[in-house]
Amino acid sequence: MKAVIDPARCQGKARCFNLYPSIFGKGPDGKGLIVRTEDLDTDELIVDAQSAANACPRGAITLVD
Amino acid sequence: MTTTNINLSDPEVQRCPFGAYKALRDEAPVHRMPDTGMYVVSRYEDICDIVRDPDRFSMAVPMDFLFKTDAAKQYYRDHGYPRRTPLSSDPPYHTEFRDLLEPFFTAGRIRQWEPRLRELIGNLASKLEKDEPVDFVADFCFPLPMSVMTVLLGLPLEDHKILKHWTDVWVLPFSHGLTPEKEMYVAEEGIKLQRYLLDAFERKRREPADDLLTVLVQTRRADGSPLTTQEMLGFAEQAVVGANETTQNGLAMAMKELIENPGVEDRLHAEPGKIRTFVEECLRLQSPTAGMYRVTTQDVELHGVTIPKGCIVHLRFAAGNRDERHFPNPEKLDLDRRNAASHLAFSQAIHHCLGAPLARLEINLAFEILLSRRQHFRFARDAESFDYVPGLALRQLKYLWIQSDPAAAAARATAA
Repeated sequence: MKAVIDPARCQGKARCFNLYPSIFGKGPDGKGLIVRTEDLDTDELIVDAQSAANACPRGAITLVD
Repeated sequence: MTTTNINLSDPEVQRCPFGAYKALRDEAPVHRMPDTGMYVVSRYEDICDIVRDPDRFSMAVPMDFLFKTDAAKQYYRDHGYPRRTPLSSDPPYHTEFRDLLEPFFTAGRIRQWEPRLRELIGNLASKLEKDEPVDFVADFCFPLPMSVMTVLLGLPLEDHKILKHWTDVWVLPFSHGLTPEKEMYVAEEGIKLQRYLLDAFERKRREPADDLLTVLVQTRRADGSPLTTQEMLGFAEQAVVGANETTQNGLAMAMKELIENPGVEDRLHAEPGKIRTFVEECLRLQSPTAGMYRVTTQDVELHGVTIPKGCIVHLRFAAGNRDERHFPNPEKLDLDRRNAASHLAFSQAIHHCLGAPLARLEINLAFEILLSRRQHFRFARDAESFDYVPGLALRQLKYLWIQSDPAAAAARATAA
């Protein structure tokens, strides 16, 4: 499972990288980017990525298998 | 059961609402409650869409709708400030307010609180280590979140009991059907809470400290202006109320699920990393915040039902969390469920619970510590005797008597 950010939707509201910095980071344009590019292979990473997707005000984060 | 008769206010339905939820999802995904006139939305996808559509489904639900008598509303106006929390607002106002507070709930901040949380949890866990039955709700679930929030706000720890009382009363109107006398009592206690908080703001202005109330009194908007008293009260009331019932019930229901699902405890002992998914499954299955409200800003049609402008829509998170359209085999606590955390227990999008990371940390640490100290949790009394606080928006166990495994107790006695 991997997290994906839709750059068209992301507005840099920062919730993902403020809360889950092991998976998300802040790009040079202020928008979110994925820093954990490998497979999300633990319960911790999966729950955190999903939580970020729930919290994103723009619905910009999805998880793909 | 015919769906037209389903009444979520009915105490019988509240005891075990899951059959009613399924009937609503399948037969009446937009259901007008016979007693309150609110429209209940119960499917996962619909709720996800609505929380992302603030233009048509506003969060600015007049909190007054909770009070039926003018006397109670008037008492608030005469003696304090109307009950209005920042949660009950829409963009752009909500966005601005939330952006001011979000920096205080980042991963880094929350990590700083962890040692204090471990200490509070460890102390409470020690008190559970008795050979006679203990009430997990009264002895653990009640004091933990309230102590944590009292400390984070920067209030004296011993005040957590009076704060607990005030917030228990504060949420009573969410049950509906209060007598006029009871509504008046809610208003009087609500004003006492406001006066307590106003004194605390004054103290923090004189003696700033590293706590949330100091953040509130020191925060400035982009134009340099401070938050208004109404805003500070709204946030502080929200913080204590949000921390109290919801986390308390998250903890209690997770213990109930742990005991009711054979094999889960053994697996958590063998694979502690699974505690993360266990907690999400409990939040999904029991959704301590069973639902939230919106108000329509225009006529909206959904599943062939027209919801007129100005109506209260009740988003039933607890029903969406068991929607088989999104969660296969939804009634099962599944430690391998890949989308467990996509539940609605904290809502989603702009109003996603600000305190969710804190609540998650509290519940995860609680079970990590409890499981490291004890094994074979079991009910101490007849498992049929669960009793819930009447209420529409919150699901709340009144008590949960648990007991040590006799073998474990014997081993402890031998070791001593």
